[in-house]
Amino acid sequence: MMKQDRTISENQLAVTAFVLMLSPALRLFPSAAAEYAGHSAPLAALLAFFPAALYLFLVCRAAALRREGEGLCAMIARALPGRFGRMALGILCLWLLAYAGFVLRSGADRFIIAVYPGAPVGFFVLTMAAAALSAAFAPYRDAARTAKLVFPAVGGVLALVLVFSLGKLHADNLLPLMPESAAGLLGGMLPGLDVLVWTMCAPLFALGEVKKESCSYPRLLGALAAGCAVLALMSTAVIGSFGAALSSSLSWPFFSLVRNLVFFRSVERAEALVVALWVFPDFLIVSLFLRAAREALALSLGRRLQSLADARAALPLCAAAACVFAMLAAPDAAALSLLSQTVIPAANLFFALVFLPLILLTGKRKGRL
Amino acid sequence: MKRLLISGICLPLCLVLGGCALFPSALRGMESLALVQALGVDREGDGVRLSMVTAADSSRGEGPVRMSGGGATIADAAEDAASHASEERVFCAHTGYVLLGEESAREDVSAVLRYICRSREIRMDVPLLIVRGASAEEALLRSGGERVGAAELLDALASSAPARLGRELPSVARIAGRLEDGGCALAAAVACTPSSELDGKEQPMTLALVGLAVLRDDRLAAFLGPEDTVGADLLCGAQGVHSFVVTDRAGQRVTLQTAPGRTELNVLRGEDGEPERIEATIRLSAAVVEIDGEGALSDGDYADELAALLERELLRRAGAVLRLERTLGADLLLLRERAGLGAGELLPVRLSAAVRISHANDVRDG
Repeated sequence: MMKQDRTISENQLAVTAFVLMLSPALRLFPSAAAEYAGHSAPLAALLAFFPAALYLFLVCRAAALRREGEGLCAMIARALPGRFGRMALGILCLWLLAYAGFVLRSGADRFIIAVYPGAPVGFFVLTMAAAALSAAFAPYRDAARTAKLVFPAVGGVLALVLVFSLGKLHADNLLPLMPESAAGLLGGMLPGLDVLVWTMCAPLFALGEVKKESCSYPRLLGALAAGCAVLALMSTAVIGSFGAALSSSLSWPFFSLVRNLVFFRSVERAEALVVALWVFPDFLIVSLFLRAAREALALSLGRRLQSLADARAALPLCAAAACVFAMLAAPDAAALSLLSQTVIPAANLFFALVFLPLILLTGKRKGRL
Repeated sequence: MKRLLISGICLPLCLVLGGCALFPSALRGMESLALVQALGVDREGDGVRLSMVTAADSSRGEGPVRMSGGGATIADAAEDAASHASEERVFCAHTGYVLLGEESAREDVSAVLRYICRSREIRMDVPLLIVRGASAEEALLRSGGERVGAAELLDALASSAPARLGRELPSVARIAGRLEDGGCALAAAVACTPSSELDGKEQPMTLALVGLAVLRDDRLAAFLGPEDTVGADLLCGAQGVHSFVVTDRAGQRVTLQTAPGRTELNVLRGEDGEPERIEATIRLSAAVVEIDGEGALSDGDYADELAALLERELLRRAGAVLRLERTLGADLLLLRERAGLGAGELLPVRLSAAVRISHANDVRDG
């Protein structure tokens, strides 16, 4: 019998990161970048490539420190073996569950705004959580394969939307680019950087199933450049159509753009289909983070309780915790907006740029990694 | 292949998630829907009057359905109008035009813009038109006749807009974006006028494009009449097709029709590098459509004379719009931005025009 390859390939890793990026890219980037950088937001997305490339270099260096079969949670446990390590893993577990809960809530909001007005949030949260939970029982490589399978559909629709939005662009919404907007460009880079560093961090939890040689910097740099280009094109389409001020005041400017498109002079009002398609990035994020949260929980509880957390029952508990967060953290639109625009992006940057690097650096300095 | 197959399964599943009905009992026939094509909003005391009109169904010999309702807000008025309609459901997702009465526009346009930006049904790229000298209700419910309604009249206006205004009818998204970005925007202006066509013995009312409406600080500030609208187009790229009547030295009236041309903008800077003024040059060609007498286009001097007369006319019309900009203190035509400068104070503009008389429409004069 032919032996099946049970690892995640470099190609799968890059595609998974790309599909994972699409969820925060639509939620955060076009409106936040327009708010800070005005009509220079597309340029801000391109400029974000440089700090993101540096971060990717560090991520690849960190990935090279892992042992065979070791993911990010196991690396943290090795870097900080004592009480501090368990505490850090506990915090990470809480963050992963909170993020998964936020994605569930935000996905429900997207459906309610675009397709099912007045529908109960709980229905969407529970359905998505149940689907993601069933996927979380499987190894990470199954999520990576799913990402590769949905990539043509999601990427194809994204490309179609971007091409058809060209006819809606107004040059004066995008030009002129003035030297005075340089300060805004720096601010506008932040949302782009937030999306990109998050996209680089999330697959680290699946490192245990990634081939050791699959984190080569030059190859992943190409995928990062593609991600930056998508962010730039997306903000060009949105800001070119609506102008910077209006784009920054819309909740989901990309879906508003899709609502305005007419495909081949006959098909229109396809926003419900596009919103539905964006279920897949959410599904991947939630399943990946539920599994990672269980790992972090198991490692944080210490040896005596580890078997409890290792048990299959721990995953439904994690899913339930994410659902509770989804239902309680954003009871209304104002709270969700605060979470989406401020709390989650700030926490993201903290975990990606401070929390994780600090732990890994400490482990490296103490010779444990 | 496998990936394509799975993508092929994913997309139809998304149709189900996208709200498409799965069971025949949930399906609705088109005939049970009133497909609203144009929507009109007017202030009525403290509330709103909303008018809606559908397209005529020529295949079934049915004329347009006209509805009107009032309420405290636009949504409230829409419900009122729908509750008195004979159709099972009033469907606004295919609305193609939004009209706003002049009086209401002078008070506030932002409420309508916000309503459409928030609306789950109405697209943000529908054109917003201001009804000059009348209410939107009057324009929508009284124009047209039994067989043709306001929706069809508006379709015809939209098709002629690029040639007449030099631009597509400005959309809600465009207007809302410009008002948010720069505080001023241009919308198309229509008027409800008696039709030139007779329907039996009656002369029905029709809708006509009468220029542009200037919106400033969320209110209607002024109208640009047909002459000023041409001037605005000349400053914005001269993309329209316009006719001008000039009088030559012999006292003959000559009709000239311009073709789409271009407007060049250059910034003149002072010694300190700060922009001092903008130089705008309108370049286009024109054809002689009619001469009220003998013309001699083969004579180069006569062609030069017509070109000079047309240039003077172009400068007069463009100059009038620039003066209006100064009066309103608003960069209506975005000359600064189009000249490569960011937002800021209005700069003086020096105008020039370069016209070439291209041909005389198949008649060899002289």
